[in-house]
Amino acid sequence: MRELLKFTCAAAIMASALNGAAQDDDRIDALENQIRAMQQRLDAIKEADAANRPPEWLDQVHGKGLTFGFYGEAKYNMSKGNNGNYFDPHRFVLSPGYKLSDNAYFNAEIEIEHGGVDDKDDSRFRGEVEIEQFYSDVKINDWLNWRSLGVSLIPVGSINLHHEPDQFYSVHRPIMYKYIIPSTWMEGSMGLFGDVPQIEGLGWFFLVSQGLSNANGSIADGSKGVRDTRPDLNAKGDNRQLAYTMRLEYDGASSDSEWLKGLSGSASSYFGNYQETTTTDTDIYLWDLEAKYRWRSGFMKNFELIGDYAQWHFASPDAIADANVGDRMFGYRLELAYHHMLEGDEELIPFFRLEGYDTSEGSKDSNAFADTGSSNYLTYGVYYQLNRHMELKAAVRQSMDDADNTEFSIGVGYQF
Amino acid sequence: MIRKTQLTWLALAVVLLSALPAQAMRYLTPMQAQKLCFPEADKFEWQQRKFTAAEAAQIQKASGVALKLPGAWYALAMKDGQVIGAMIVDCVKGKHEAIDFVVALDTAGKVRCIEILEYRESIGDEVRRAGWRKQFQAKDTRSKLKLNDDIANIAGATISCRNVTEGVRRVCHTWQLVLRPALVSARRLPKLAAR
Repeated sequence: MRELLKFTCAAAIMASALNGAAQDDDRIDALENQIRAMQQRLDAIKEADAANRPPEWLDQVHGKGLTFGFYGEAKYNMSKGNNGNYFDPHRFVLSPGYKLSDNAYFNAEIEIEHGGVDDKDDSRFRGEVEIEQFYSDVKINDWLNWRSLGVSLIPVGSINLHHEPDQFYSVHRPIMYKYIIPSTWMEGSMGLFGDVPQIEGLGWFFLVSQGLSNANGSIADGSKGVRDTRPDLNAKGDNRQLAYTMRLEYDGASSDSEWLKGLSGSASSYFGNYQETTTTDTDIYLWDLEAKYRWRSGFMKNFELIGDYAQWHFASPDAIADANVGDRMFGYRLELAYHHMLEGDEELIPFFRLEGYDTSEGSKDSNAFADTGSSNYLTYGVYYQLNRHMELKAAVRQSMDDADNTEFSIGVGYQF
Repeated sequence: MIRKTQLTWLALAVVLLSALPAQAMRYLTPMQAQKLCFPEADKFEWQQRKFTAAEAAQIQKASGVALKLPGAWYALAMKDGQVIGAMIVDCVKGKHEAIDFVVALDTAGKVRCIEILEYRESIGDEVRRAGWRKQFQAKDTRSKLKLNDDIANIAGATISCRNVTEGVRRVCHTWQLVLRPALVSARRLPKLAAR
């Protein structure tokens, strides 16, 4: 009996041990399966993560460091007047750009005009070297950016802001941008700009800048206008007050309306004070309205119409010494162009423009005021864009007042 | 002389501006863009493919645009296990810096939308405007995709507008010539009926 009991106990212990071993094996198998599944999931996640990461070659195309752009224009002018026929390497402009941070960008333009300068007397280089732009823009959000302290273009009229040679079809810039809006008009300044969030396509710009001064010349009638009153960029003492410019611009390319897509334009105003002498000064106010329309369909497709008008108001015209300067000056252009689209970027653009300016308009209290009339031109010619980087131009600027002022010019422009 | 009140206003403006939080010019990551382009997708499968010399030549010839990248990095948008479209990452040059963008296409190769991921410069970023980007909808390889023709230009942002337009044209041809045929070969998309 005792033997039987011993045997039974031993058998029970063995069975229990065997059963435990089998259960352990099952558990190990289950764990192994779990680990294998986890490994597979981990591999899949790693693979997906690797695919989600940009490939190395994507980053290689991103430029790093300082980059340079360029634009320039060279001309040959023929006129009946005193200037005769002459070559002019008018503008040679380098534009450095640098990404300062994730939200700030540096822009500048270094311009050499009319062949440059040197410091010898009787030098053959009597042009100019100038810093045309020099600032950084800091993005705060889509509707607010800060234009840093520096040198900026006064945001009046389209050509003063955008004046690469592919931005106008004539060899010379429209003449209102010489005497009325004294392009290239840049000043020591600081500003704010952005998009108006509620109206897509509407942008704004506010700039505080140096004011005009008489250090280099006065406001004058004739072929001067306000051109000589642009101050030295480090002018000391002759800027009585700051000047303020406000601009609103609209571009319809973002519009849902098909007819609006071809429309762009701006309204801008400049307000400042001009000191003629230490005792005489006047508030001065300039406004400009301009619009462009390019037809996108129908029989007018590829025709472009441009209208631009700028006017100065001088609050106290008697403070201006030139007897022929009244309380107003104005400039205008009305232009029709046709874009004959060729292969690729090639384009042939015949254009016709009515343009002019008047630096002796309005009135003043002084009896000596004499209205000397306006200067008006018909400007027409052909703009041929070889590709996006180069264009050839030929144009006549025919004076409607004085044949000696008529000029025929050919030019070549670059931007890249 | 500049008046004291003017200087006070200027100083106040500078202080206020410096106190405002600045926004980076990176607007979207590709992962955020994919959800904007294909909100109905339940899965995205990212892939990359380097072009062969023959493929690169084909794309350049068909689009008329030089290739900047040696390959394509793209996400296939999936729904219920089916490919419903693709979003391709590409970049073009602005005036100085690269503009990163994506083009989302349906399986037939028509543009659903484009999104600007990163615009690094301060001038020309009007290409981010939704209305301007909307012009690309439903364009494909048969469209001209040419600035001042079927795509309106934005004054003052011509370089960016032109280059993004060309970039979209290049992406459309990349899909049609290389990426889509690869998916057809893998039996993930049906062949397109002859056009």
